[in-house]
Amino acid sequence: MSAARGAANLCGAVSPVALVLLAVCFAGALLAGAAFAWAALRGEFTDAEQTAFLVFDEEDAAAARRAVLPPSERIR
Amino acid sequence: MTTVPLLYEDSPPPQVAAGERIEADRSTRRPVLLFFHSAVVWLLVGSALGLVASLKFQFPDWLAGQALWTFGRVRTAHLNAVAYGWASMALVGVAVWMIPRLVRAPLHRPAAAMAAAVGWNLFLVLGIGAVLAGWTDGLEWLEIPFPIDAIVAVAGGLMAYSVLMTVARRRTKHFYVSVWYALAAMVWFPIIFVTANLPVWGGVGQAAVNWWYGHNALGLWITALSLATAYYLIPKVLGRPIRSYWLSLVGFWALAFFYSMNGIHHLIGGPVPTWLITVSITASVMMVIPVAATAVNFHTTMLGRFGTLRHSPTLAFVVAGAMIYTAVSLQGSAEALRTVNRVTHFTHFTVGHAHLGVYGFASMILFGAFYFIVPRLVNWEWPKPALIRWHFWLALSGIAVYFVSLTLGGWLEGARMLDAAVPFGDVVTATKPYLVARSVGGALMLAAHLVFAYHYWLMVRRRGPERAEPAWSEARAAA
Repeated sequence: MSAARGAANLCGAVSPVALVLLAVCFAGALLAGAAFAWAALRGEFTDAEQTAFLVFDEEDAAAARRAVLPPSERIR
Repeated sequence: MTTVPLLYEDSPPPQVAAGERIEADRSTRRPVLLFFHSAVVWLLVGSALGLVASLKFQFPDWLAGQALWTFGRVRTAHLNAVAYGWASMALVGVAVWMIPRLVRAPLHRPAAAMAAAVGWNLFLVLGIGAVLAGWTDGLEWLEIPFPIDAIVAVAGGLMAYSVLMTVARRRTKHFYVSVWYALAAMVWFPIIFVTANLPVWGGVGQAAVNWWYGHNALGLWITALSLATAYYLIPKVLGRPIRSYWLSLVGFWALAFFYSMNGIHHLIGGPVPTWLITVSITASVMMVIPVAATAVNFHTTMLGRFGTLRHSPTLAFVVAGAMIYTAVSLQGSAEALRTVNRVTHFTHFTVGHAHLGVYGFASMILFGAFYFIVPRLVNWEWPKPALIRWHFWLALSGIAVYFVSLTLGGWLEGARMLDAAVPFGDVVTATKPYLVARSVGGALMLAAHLVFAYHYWLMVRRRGPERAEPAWSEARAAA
């Protein structure tokens, strides 16, 4: 099938204006791909397990030292 | 409870970290409270409208005299109130509170976030008012008329500006996985919302865009922000990092790459090109990858710590929501298959599935988030712990009754509709007991929300006895 015939079939099957949606999806895929590449280049995937500790702060460290749940989680 | 070091290797000294967290919390307090207050009001409005709509299956003549109260309008108002009012406003509130803490920087321009909350409420009041008055765009999830949509587009822009600029000024080297999810949601939602609301669609293309949007609003907005919340709260309460951070990244990127084409499976059997449907079914089944990655991670993080659920209201809600996420996602993948969809399409089964997702998964996680965050916002403890237990069990039993009844009733309905020998009237009559159970489930959920809203009101008014150990007070943290 020629490219022109393929394009004609696509337009026949989907409203031409719906091709805007495909363009948006394509742009979205590019954006996601760029974000993924950016993350990889920044080293987000190297030493990833250390990043898991980012969620904690000094509150949690204090609670852990006392081996207790945070106060608002002990109100059974 | 745990002996692992809880601070990231790049963390600043404890005094500096405390200062940064206090600064972050101060910057978010007012906008987050505004989002939360609004969300609770929309939860009550939305669930009351939902119960009215459900009761109309038992009492079709009830409130039938005025067009305002007809099923089509009330049910639509319910959907918009809970999806854009409750879930969206609460999720944005959680993200606004969480992100500055995770990037160790104060919220950029809190006034922009406040303005976003006001604009969002204006959109909802005008939009739901328009729906009840009979002015809609007539497309599911996109009913609110086009001119009113512009308000939320501006509000969302202000919100995204505030959050994205906060991240741009971060003091951390890496993004925690919750930041990935929240940032992606803030980028995805404007794209899908604006695209779907463009006044250029028509015919089959419009139907395709409609369901592309409808499903992505769930997957790329509500799901993404809910998972961000769960990834934050489970390790925080347990004091133990997520089992495999690597797996959490696999889950995020797999969702990012596979989710966006899922929605077209709503059009199986419709006049849509077969290739489009097949791509959507394939993408829906591929969702097993991120779901499995996330489920394994949540569940293995909890291993050996399930006893904590008895003490922590946050964990009870969040873990219930995370488990339901696994169930509803796998059910969704199965539902996208042609053989299953042939039975379930256009039945109550789909309604049960949608509620399991938005309520059983997202709302349960949100309730857990409220129980964690609000004490830190108002520097007070929840005054009546018994009300939390009532809230939990009413909500869980409500969604259980609702989901089981509509799943069974919907499947039987679909099977009977495929039998040409069964008159349609008989099919409808056979669903009646399941619809009664649906109303019972809805009433239980509304009761749960009344309990929750009353307790929330007590909390923000700082009623009840002052606890010996208040939630993380700034003075205590500084000490």
